[in-house]
Amino acid sequence: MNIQFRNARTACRTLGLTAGLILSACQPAQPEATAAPPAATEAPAPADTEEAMVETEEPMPTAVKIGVLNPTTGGLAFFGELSNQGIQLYFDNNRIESVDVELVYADTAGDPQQALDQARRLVEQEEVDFLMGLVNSAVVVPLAQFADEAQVPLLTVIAGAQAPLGPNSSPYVFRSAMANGQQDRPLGWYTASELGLTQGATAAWDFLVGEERAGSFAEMFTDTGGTILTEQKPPLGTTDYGPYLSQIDPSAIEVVYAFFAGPGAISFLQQMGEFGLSPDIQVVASGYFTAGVLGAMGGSAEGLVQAAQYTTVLDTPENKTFLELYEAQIGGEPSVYVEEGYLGAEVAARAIESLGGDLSDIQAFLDALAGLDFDGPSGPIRFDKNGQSVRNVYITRVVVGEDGTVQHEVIYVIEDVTLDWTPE
Amino acid sequence: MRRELLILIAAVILALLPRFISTYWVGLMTQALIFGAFAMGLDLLVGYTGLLSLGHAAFFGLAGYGAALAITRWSLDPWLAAGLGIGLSVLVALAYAPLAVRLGGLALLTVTLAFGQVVWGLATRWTTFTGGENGVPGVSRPVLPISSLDIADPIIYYWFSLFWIVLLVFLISRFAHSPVGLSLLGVRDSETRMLALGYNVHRRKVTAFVVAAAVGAVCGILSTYFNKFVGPGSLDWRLSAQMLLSVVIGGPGSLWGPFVAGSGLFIIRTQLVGETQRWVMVLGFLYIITVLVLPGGLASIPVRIRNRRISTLPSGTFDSTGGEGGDV
Amino acid sequence: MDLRFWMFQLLNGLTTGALLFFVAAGLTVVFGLMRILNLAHGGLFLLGGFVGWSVQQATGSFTLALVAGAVAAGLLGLILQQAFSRTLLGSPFNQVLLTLGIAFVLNNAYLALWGGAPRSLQAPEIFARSVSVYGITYPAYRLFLIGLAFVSGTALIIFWERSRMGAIIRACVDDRQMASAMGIRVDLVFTFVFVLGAMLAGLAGVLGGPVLGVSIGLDFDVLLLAIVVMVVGGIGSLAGAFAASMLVGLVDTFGRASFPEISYFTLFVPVILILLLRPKGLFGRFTGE
Repeated sequence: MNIQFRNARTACRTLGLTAGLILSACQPAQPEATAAPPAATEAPAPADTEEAMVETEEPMPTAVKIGVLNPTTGGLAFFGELSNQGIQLYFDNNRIESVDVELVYADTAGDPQQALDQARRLVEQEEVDFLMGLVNSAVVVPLAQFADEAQVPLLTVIAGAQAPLGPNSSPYVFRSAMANGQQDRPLGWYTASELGLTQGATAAWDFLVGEERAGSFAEMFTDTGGTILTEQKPPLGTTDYGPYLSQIDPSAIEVVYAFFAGPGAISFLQQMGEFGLSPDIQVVASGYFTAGVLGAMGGSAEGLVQAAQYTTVLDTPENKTFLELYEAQIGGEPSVYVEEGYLGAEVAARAIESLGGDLSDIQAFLDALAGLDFDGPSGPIRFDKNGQSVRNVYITRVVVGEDGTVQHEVIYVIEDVTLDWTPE
Repeated sequence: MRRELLILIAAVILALLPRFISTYWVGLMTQALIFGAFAMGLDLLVGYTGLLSLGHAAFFGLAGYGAALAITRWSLDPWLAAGLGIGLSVLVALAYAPLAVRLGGLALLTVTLAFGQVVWGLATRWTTFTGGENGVPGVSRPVLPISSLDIADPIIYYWFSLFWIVLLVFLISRFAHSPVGLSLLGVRDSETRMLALGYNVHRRKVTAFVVAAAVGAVCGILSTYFNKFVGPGSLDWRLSAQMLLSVVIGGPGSLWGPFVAGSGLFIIRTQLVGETQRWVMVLGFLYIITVLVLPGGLASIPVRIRNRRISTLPSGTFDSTGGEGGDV
Repeated sequence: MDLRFWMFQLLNGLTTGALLFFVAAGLTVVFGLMRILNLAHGGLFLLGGFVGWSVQQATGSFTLALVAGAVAAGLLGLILQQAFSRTLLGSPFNQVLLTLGIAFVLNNAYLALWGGAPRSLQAPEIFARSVSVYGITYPAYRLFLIGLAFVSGTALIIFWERSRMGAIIRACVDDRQMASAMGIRVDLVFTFVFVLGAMLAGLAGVLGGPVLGVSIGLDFDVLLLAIVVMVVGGIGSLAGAFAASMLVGLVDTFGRASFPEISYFTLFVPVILILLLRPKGLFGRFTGE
């Protein structure tokens, strides 16, 4: 079965079919893809060298096996696949000196029970050295508990649930992603203080992430002098916002904080316009709002202000390298999910590298992770004492170019943002 | 006696299994047995009585939540908490069943689904009490009366689960072949006749509903203690659907078929995810092939071998299983 | 709770109801005639949505998208009906297993074909604006949906109750043997109705595109709602499905708007109550045997 799929994937790649559609069909079909073979550094077509890698290579360097847990079926498949793409992209193009990194992918389907079952399979059957991935917050708590009990390091690259990385966090759990609220707190301050909009509403899907994010926004927004007039909480996955938008009175409300993703975010903006609320009401959101769907939003996103952890317009050498790699090997512009996967992979790779690939001492690996401090595509990253990343927040605005293309522009940068960030 | 003997033999083989398989497979088998027993319990309602439920995960999850919250919030002893959780599930089932089983066929399917969604919604949204999507982590397992047995050991927990599951299977089997159990078959085949014969059909349906819920509750406890965690996923309609599918694939009314199917499907699914990205599609094809090749489910295999002809297993349409005209 | 609020929620409820009706109509027609609970109905719905999306991307036309979505779903329905006709008419257990298996295969196939990226259809040009009614601003496309649901609902019911074809179909519903003896080709009628149901699902997928979007997972969400509406309305009754769609749409919308904290319950609690009070649904035809 494995062999078959590896071949199928290679076949797709060698046919040169890199169109998004084919990619999404082939790319994730990689339950066991071996990455970062010696030759991969210059190789433009990583799939070929991977294939060679499986059979050849005699003087074995240290082997490191990473279990990658992301949803690749169900409603979250899109985000899981993008995240996997970023992880694969990094390891395909960055070889660690005398270390062979093997990635073993498993599908969580976004379901905590399946995530647990797959984590067990990866750790106990595949014997991976550590786990990384996780898109949705619901799987974080059970997996953090599992990692802690099984004493297997877990690096969360997308999911932001606050709980497992608070003061009682497990020493085994790290998160390269920003936590829920880590972008929303600065955004609350920025909206009330810098944009000067104080009559606000929040609209967020009624689930953990929405609650943590909208709550963090509201807290800082009101602390800075704003007032929240109404909180709308459509059930998770809602794409028809009619009943909620009609509660937002355009004569009283100046700004709406929104947390939705994917299809929900697209229809929210579209329907804001249809119900005559935008452009009069300013919409503010965190970085994930437009992730992967900015193009689909088109003109309806114009003027949207976001607190992003990453945007493609950052002018840094690290981001340039990342964008060039993506353009060359996948094509087009990467979404935040790809960048976050890539960043997570770089975090893991740097820690592995500092130990020369020897992960037998787990504590040394955890210390290596905790000691990281480097510049990734999204700027500087380091970890606080709980294993939560400390990163920049970029306040961006969506602008529509003359040719109709939609793009972010950075209008403000807040550096070194911790989970409990407050304005100076 | 033959049945009891078979159960005993299966139990002995299963008890010896950990000697031959890895720790990972011990864990996998533990869960497989739990889902097998859950499906077997549901068969009493679906296969025996002909009532379709798409909401029995509610009782699985309620018991798990009851125990987990009692342990983590009120520091109750896990043994007592398990009793509390099962009690909660059974009480809710006792209250709900008399209303629900007045309906049959698709109407019952819908109200059980709706009820399951309400319980799921409660677990997800009553964040302050249930932990919302985060679920309830940190659930401790019960301490075994024999101090040399450490329940944290995967093999010990496997035996612990096996003990309860064998007990469940034994009780289900006894119940199914008791006069009450057999009368359930009568309810399925001809409700009118059973009424005419003076049976209290309503009470029998309630019994089947509650027994299936109680079995689900015990399985929910075993699953929660295995994971040391319970979350809204244990209440999801997809779990209910998977159990209903297990009953159908196993062969409704055969009891052992649904057990094997429930266990097998769990193992196949978990391992399949590691083999292919398209595991959902493979599972889908598996269902389609099963229904085409084995329209009577796994339970029809021995019958086929014996008779060498197509078996006539419980069939009929939604009408005869209660249907829209359930209340006569 | 001013007039504006009531007006808004009334229209919102009717929009939800309209979408529910398009989804549930096909399911209930098929069940009413053949006793087939088609759990792949959501998959047919989503096929319509995806095909419609692709066609709109290529041609820019919503009308073409509608036609293509309906035809694609109808064709798939035809293939399924022909390939599995025996099992589909067999025991309900096997129907559940078969159609759910098909639903899983379709769900995963769409993921492979269209990727997981969420899509959204654009409303047709003439409706891509807002109109002011009684002092509130409302999207024109939604008003169009409401209107369309009333028109097509009425047309379908008239077809069902008054036309010759409708009479033939109802004859098959009431007594297959008798209809067959009267020279009606029951198998052709079955195929016709199954394909009609599939086309309605595909149509619903395209019509819902601008409001609900098109995404993996929507198939199962929509399926659950369609079953609920079908059962509440009274199985096999088009008029019932229409009434139930509007009722469920309104109750859910007013519930969500008035009690946002419990918006997860505003759909299912009323459903339980309705069914407990009226086990046969609002317009249940099949009373007793």
